[in-house]
Amino acid sequence: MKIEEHFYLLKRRIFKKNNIIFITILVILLFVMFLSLTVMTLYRTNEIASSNKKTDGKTIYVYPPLKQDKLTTEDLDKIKSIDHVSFVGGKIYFGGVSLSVDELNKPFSEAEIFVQPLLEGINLKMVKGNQEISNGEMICPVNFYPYEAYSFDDEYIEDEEETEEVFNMKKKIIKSAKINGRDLIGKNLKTKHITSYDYNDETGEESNIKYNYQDFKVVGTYDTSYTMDSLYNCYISKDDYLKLVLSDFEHKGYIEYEHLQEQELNKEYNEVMIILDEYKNMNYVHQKLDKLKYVYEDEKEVNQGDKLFFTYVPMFITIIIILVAINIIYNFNSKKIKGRVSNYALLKSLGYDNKTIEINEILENVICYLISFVISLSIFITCFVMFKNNYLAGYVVEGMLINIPALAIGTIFVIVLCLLIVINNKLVAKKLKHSVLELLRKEI
Amino acid sequence: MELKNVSKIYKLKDEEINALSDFSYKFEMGKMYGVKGHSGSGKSTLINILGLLEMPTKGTYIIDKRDVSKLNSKELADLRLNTIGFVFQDFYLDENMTALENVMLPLLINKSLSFKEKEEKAQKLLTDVGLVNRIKHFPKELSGGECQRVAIARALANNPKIILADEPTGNLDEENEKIIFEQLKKLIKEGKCVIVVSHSDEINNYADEILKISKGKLVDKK
Ligand SMILES: Nc1ncnc2c1ncn2[C@@H]1O[C@H](COP(=O)(O)OP(=O)(O)O)[C@@H](O)[C@H]1O
Ligand SMILES: [Mg+2]
Repeated sequence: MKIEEHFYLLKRRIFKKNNIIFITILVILLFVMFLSLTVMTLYRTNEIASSNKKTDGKTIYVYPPLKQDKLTTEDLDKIKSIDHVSFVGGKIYFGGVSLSVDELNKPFSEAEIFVQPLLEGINLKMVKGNQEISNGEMICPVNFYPYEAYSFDDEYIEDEEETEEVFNMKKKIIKSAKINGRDLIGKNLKTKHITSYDYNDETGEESNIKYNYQDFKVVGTYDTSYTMDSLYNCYISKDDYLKLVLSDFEHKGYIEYEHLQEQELNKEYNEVMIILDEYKNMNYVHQKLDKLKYVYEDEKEVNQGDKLFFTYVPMFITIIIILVAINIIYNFNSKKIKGRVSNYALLKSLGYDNKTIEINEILENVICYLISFVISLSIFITCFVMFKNNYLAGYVVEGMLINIPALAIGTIFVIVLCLLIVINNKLVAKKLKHSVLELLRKEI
Repeated sequence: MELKNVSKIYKLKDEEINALSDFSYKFEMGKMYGVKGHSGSGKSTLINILGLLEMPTKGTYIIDKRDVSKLNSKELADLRLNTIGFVFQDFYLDENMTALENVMLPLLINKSLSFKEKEEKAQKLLTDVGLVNRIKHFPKELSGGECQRVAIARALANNPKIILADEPTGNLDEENEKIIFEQLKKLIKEGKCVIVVSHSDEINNYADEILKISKGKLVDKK
């Protein structure tokens, strides 16, 4: 029987009450499953992203041994010689510098990028070009958005006791202003940043502003989501970065930075940061540092509670839902099939073979499932996009991986589809073994 | 079509019912047979076995020179599709489908026609049984007689050589009964074999041969 003939047979019964209820239940189950899968994959992918980024996961701060008060170049060499340590340096490398890029200015916002040093141990996901850059070169995001992505609508609620700030995120990313990083490759970006200015306390005026200008040639682009970088985060060489950060006015004002600058200039450190080649080598390096009597502290500790909650709970929910779905599919189908034996009897008496009837039944189920899936996914995507735009706008800018977990959803789609086909086929085949008359009598 | 020493035994909890015992008969093409007998005498059992709706417990049933007991379910389905047309007392129309769609049912699995040809054929069949104006009606919008005519049109869809009807007029009045018998009678002119189970004496006016059954045995033949 051809597919359109199967549809002809189905068209009168596909939207009967039974199937509508079935579809509704599937929609709800699938929706909950999508949610838990999303929570799970978001957490997982962000965990992976963290371990790729220097500031998270595989960064360790090292302090002098207790009897010593400074770390010297000798110490740095010793630490550097530990296996799996890719980078050792002052804490001044932690962070970044904001630079203006006037040539990219837009009417709605001035262009500003945030540059960070490309330290050993950082693994960027390069889209074009490679990760080795020399002085004067730069890697920028492939999805490049060097603008104000959201504005805070500051509201101050005056309370007798305290002043509370309420942030309302207003603006979103203006799509047309997005820059494709690939288009910038080979181009020189002129950047500037303030190195000093005079500030008049009485009038609040800034005068005598001095800038430092520097050109960077874009040699590559990278995928920000992989390392949870912002859409305006660019990477430059260590040397370039050091020059910038030592001259940057914004950094000068802070005592903490002054300390770091001083340490860097004298090559005597209160603490240094190290970056490992891979996250899995954390334990090994901890042991080695212990042996060398250094005091250390991980930059970021993975919260085991969070991990448990965000990984196992959704996984558990997913499994439960699959079990419930099996149960519901089984019960619904066996009930439906019971009510349909007289129809099977009729079809068989007319000369339909079992296979044709089975295929037709499966087709009905698959259509119901597809409809449920499409409805559920549409609702889910709508909610997801709304949630992302309204509540997670900040994270979007920060490059957090907020994507619909397509792979997981695809897998679930196939699993449930197979279950549906197997269960339905088993139930129908069992009934069809009987002779036409036996089938007829069950109804009469 | 030939039955040789066919028996059908129903096993209940503590008794066995010989619905049909040692029944032998050879049906010929181009003839209309009437099957009569008291209620419970085994008429339905006979016609159900003939229609391949159930299998005999003992004996051989030869149809189209083939021994039914040696056929698999696919071959049986094929015989039901192409060789046999069955008409039930309760019509067995699909309530959710229109008259046309009901007639389309056996045509859908016919491989030799295109979909368009199938629809045309279904319309012609319904026209032949006088229901040209009822094509789009659902069974509950049709009278009993009309429903049975739809069922007959459906039984004839794939041009079977053998038409079997189990009390096709059991739920109908005399006038409709005559119409149904008339239509079945027409078929033997095309060389088909028609077997009709009926209580009614009206069948005597149409059938070429009347078989009388009692307690699962052939007791008389006219
Ligand atoms: N499925 C069955 N189980 C048990 N007994 C049956 C079954 N079908 C028919 N019978 C019995 O077989 C006998 C013949 O039935 P049937 O062929 O339906 O008679 P008729 O159609 O002549 O009224 C009856 O005694 C009936 O009770
Ligand atoms: Mg009967």
